[in-house]
Amino acid sequence: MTPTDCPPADPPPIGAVLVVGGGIAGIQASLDLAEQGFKVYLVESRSAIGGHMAQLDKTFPTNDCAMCTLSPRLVETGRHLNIEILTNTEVLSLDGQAGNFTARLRRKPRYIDPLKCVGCGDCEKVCPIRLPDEFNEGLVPRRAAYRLYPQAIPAAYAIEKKGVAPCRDACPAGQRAQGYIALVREGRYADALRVIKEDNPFPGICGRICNHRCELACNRNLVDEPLNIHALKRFVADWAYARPREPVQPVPHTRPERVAIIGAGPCGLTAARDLVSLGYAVTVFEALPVAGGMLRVGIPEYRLPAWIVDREVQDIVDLGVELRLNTTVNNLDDVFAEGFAAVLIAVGAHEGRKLPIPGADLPDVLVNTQFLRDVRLAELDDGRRTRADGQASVAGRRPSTREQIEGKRVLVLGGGNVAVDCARTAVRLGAASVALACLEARAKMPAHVEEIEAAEAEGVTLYPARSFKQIVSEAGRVTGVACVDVTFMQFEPDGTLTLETAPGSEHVIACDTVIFSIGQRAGLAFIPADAGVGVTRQQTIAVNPNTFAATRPGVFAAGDATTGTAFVIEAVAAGHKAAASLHRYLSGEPLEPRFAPDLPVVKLTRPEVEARLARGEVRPAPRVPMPRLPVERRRGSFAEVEQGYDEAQARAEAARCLACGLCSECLSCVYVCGAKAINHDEVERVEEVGVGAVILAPGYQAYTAALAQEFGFGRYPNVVTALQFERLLSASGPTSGHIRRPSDGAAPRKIAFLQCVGSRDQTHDYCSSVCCMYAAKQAIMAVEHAKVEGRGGQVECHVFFMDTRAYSKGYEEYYRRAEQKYGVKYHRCRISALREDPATRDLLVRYAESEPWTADRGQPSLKTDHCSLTTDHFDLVVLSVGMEISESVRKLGRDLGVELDAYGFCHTTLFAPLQTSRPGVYVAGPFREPKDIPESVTEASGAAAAAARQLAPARHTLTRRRDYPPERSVDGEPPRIGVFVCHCGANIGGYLDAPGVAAYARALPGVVHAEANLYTCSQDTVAHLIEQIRTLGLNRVVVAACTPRTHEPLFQDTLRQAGLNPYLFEMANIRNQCSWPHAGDWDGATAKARTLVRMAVARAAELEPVQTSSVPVQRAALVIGGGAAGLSAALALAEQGFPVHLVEREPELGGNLRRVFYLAEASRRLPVTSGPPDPQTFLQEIVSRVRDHPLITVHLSAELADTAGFKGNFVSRLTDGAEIRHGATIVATGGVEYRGPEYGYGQDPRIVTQQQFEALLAGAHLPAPGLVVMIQCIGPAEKFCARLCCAIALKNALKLKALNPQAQITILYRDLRTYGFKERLYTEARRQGVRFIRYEFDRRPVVEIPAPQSPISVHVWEPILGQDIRLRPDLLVLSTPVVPPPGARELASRLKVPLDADGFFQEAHPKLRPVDFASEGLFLAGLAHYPKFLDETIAQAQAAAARAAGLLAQASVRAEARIAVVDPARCVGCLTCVRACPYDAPKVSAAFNGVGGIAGAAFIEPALCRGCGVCAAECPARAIQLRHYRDAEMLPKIEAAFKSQAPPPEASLVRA
Amino acid sequence: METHTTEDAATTPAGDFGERGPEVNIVAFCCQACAYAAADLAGALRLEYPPAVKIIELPCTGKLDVLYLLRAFEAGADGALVAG
Repeated sequence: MTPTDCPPADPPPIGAVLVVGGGIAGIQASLDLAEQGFKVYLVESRSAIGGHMAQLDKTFPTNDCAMCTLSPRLVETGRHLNIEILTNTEVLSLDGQAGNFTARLRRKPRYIDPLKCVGCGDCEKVCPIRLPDEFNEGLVPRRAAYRLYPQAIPAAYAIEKKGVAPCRDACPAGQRAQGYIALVREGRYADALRVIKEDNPFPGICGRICNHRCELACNRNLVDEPLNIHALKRFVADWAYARPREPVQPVPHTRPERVAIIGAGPCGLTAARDLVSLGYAVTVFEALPVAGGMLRVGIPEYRLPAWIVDREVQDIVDLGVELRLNTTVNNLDDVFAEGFAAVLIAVGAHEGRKLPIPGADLPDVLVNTQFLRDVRLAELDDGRRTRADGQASVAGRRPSTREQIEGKRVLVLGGGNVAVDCARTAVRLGAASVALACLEARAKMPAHVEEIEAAEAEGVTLYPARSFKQIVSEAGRVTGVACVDVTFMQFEPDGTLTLETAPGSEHVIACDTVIFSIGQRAGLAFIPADAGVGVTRQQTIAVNPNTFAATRPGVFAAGDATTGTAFVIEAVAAGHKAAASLHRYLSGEPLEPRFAPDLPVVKLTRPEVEARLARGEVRPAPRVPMPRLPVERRRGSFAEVEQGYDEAQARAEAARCLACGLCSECLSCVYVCGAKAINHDEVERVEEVGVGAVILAPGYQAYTAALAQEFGFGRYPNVVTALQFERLLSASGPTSGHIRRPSDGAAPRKIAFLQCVGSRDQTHDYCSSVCCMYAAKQAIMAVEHAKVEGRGGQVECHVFFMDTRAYSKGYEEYYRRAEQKYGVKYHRCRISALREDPATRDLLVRYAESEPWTADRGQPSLKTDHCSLTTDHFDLVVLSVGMEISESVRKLGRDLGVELDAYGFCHTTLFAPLQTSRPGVYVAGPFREPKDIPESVTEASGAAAAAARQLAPARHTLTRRRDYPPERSVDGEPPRIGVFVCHCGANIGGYLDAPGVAAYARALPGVVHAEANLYTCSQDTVAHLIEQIRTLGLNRVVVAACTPRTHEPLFQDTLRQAGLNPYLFEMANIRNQCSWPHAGDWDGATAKARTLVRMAVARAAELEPVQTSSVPVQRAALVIGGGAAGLSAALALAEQGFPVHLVEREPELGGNLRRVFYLAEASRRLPVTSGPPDPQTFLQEIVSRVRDHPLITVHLSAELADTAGFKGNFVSRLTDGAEIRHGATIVATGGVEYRGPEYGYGQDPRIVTQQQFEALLAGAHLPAPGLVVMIQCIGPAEKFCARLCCAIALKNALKLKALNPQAQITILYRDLRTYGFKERLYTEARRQGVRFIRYEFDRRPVVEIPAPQSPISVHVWEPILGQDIRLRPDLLVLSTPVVPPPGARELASRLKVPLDADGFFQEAHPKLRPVDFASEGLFLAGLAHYPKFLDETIAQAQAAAARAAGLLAQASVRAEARIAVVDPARCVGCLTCVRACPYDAPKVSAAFNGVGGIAGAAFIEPALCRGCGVCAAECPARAIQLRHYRDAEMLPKIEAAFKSQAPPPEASLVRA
Repeated sequence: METHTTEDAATTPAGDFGERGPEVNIVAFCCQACAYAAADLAGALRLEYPPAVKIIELPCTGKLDVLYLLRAFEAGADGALVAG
């Protein structure tokens, strides 16, 4: 029978599972499923997996480093062939049904291709953006290009970008304004210039005269004023141009085609730059004697100095553009005849217009463009020429422009920027007065406000809202302009004007010279009607707006010539687009640009901005004012008015940027990335995957501490959350593991931990289950840190709590250790107030100090002196924040259609704890109920089992295997070592001489080849490595790069692909252990790298191939114990198709569950979907399913007699004589209720245990007792917390109340440990009037039974009254704990597995391997592990089944390569190895002959050996060698650390 | 002690510190699972220590054979660190 013999479903299920959430639960579920033969899509919303556990410093109760235990799992997950990690991904919806789902996933861009990224971190180093580091809980900033944490998987970096910043979006040319602003803030002006020029070749020009729509769009408008973006651009240009000009390197012509561009304005020149950069030969024709177009001849010097234009034009020309000035193109045909393949017309709009009104043709009536050009070109001659050339000079008789202005009254007609330019130019030419009249009302003038204001400041008079009727003249001389007042004006969409004027408002504005400035158009005289180029009615060239193609093939047009007058930035944008279009045309591609999806634009909302203001991330700050030339110095001078920012002003202004897009797109990362892995244009996409099942493990979010205002989080810097404190403790945290308080960086000496913040309060009716323990851990670690820092443990920790919920394995002992060994002071109270001392920033905590236990003992007193208010100073306050379900996870639940409770937790039932309300969708971790890591890991495995059960027929249908070429034998070959030295971008190459190390390696013995690579692990270099191994016949490989911990598997795989045994590989860690820690010491690091390479080569020369053997797996399981755990595990395996032998020592199945009659449902579900949970019905059902299952063999009244073998291959005998061959064993032997003599148990029938009480309550004939007293923590439970007793007491109390509401119940307890949702039982019990009296062990209740029939008397100290009280219960119920069953110790020794101090079976690791034994192939579940509730038991049983199935699903198990091997010829059978081995692998057997052929030598079972090498080190006869770490391999490496392989003779002499 | 300044691989002596003068040579035997990983992290955090420390990775510090220590001292080690 094969394991997949289940009846095929219809349609067959999909053998893939979607796991949502990359925390420890999601990781565990993924690994289990992948091992069981399913394809896994692991979806994580962040950029790396690891979840909260990765943030933790240590874990309780072992104080293991969280990262040390987690990191191997991360690496394994990342490398697993059948786990596809989808980062930055969210699940949108789930269609279909169990077995056949389609999940829609939103994949957000990470902008760095994880396949190309090698994780060198160069992008992070150059990124100018600082964002709160969420991994470090906002304690420090991180960059927008980041890796979540150093050990993150995937190791690839990511870029955090919200979208396109509004400034960039508003810019027609897409200028990355936020990018250069960020670089200016950092003082990186050259980088800023580089990124500006990426989109815009005219930084100096646009920095002065751009109409900067970016500033209108700037989100800073919501705070105060927009950034002065154009001024910052100008600053960058000014900074660069104040330095010597670096010669521009011409671009070689790589394309055969020549391109002609007509017009050397901003559009034509932009296109010229783009095209010449693409390799075309480009010629620009310009009719004027200067290049720059309107920039050079239309904009006055005082706004845009000519040298700026000349400089920026020259930067383009020097790229290799041919510029023909004074060259008018009269005929397009001539251009093509000259051999140009394509033409771009970008002639601009240089022809000014006059209104057709009487007098417009008078000599003193000028036109804007002509006027401005005349002035600019006159300056060209440095004032020597007074007449402009061209058409003006043809007129001949006309006076010079200056003469027409100087001393005259000038009136400019028009309200645009050009009009203002004309007016202000007239001022500078010495006009007697200057006025400006326009149609528009003042507020609607198209000119910039600042321009208008500047004009007024310079004395220009405004006449807005006028319509011009006539130019009045006398004797041919202008005397004024006749106007009427405009009351309404509007340009209609078709360009026509609607105008209303005021009757009778006719008046004349007196003047001597009139300048029309009412718009410009292109001069298209060179396009004859027969040129084949269409012209529009508005005298622009007709083009396709997407391609800029004119009607004649090969002719393109762009800029003002096609659109009419626009702004320079539009010309730039058009230039880029036209060049791209021309390129497509000349490349024979479709002319239409490829579809580019719209990128999201970041629009901050007012609430967002206000939140940032409130958090202090943004402070109001007005614009840094632009220094201007004083007005009195402007008249008569064309000196630049705006002076530009100095460095300090620029950086101050740049610092105002809100960094809307997060990533600023400054492209610094793109420039630096050697792997070319970055693509800023990546877009979000929606993908669908088909899966058979879904596991939801999205985890929790820590309670938002800022919401609990009374604790001052967010206001007082020295109030931190527990997660922040974890980061302060962590060696990889922001303070390198030195606890420093945020306000001043001082080491705190007194820390307060406040419990139940966001738990057990008015808005949370549950307990978060972990906070008590993590606070104890944090307090312990704080004391430990203080010790290490040499202050003798001077830190004082105080914990303010309600009940200490140390309810799980080893917790109670841990908590006591905190109190007793580490001196942590526990205060059983909530604080009453918390304030900050503003001078010291210390925190004043006010609380009620109660000391009822030692003082006033035995003195009945109603005085309250044992409970007084105290105020204490603390340096630091840590808020033990609870668990919540985030809004995004709630949305996930709703979108996927699973039932949630009012707090967003996923609803499940007690009998199917991992099954959501939607079939095929399972849940694990805190999303179900707050819980700690081991429970989350357990549930993850359990959920994996549930999914596997459903998908068993599809096992191995979607998984992949990697095929390798046959392995080449290297037997007898001398070493031919290849050494590959990695630069790791700058990470190694920047700190040591990597090529030098390679050169050094080349001379080492055995080395036949050595080279240095930029990134040795990049895909192309790996391919190159394979090629080198093959062509050079290498038989050993050394890679000198990063750490083998992350990269050895990759390179070993490379060797296999090249046909070499993977163990012929050695790594030299010259990054993590050389270039990084010795970063400031080039010579030292280089020398050490050489030494490390020499050591690696020495070992490599001695390496041998290692072959691993494999053994077929016995694909059946043995389950010991027939209670709830055993039954569940057996079913979970059998339903996946694995035969199961279920062994129960009693004659009946069911175990403790037979004695459970009702359950307390503490979860708060929304609609009730099933009846009240009935454990007996459940038991009957599961027993009959087990009995009926063809793959389950039940052995009743039987026990395990003995077992032998190893994972995958066990042989066990039962006491009934059965012999079973199985691959895995699950121990589920349960526990029993303790029945000891404490509190008079056994002396009186009125004293019962909770189990007995439950039977009484369940029986119909309960003698209704009036008063019941319950006592908690009995016998062994004084030492360990048995987890169940509190909730069982409450369950029974509530049951009694239900049966007899008059019953009075008093519970004598120490701590009410109703963790998770069980807190609701406690609340309900109090609500129903159950009384609770606390006691301590030094003052236990005393039970007296004076006579058999007399009342039972219970004496207890009432701490609130402060006196002893006496209770006379009708029934005394003892909450006795669950303890291990008899025979557990014997079973443990038969299985060779350990027990803990309390006699429970000991799992392999309390956090991450909660259902595994240290010995492989053995698993555990249920009460055998520790007391636990039914839902926890079922989850754990399923988990054990999943772990076993992971083994049973394999056809064979492969022994470790790294195993110890005995040379029997040297073995004396001394048993040293047997004693030393922690895994019971060595045996001394008579079957082997030792030294001298005497029988009795050690043998090490390969399948049991874990490769630690302890036996090899201990063996006195050196008879044991650890494969791959043989002495012959290790000793040369050790020696090579100090001397080279072949020391020269004289060196030997010196040493001798 | 003679100091070497040449780049000749085959003759460069212990440590290769050239003119930097004699250095204390430390060998560190580190458990792969913990101390070796910690050294990697120390590098990632740019914690500085002298380049004279060379780390040799072991599967477990239990594998550390006394012979390794003796051979290291024989070869010129001034000190040995065992971390795991």
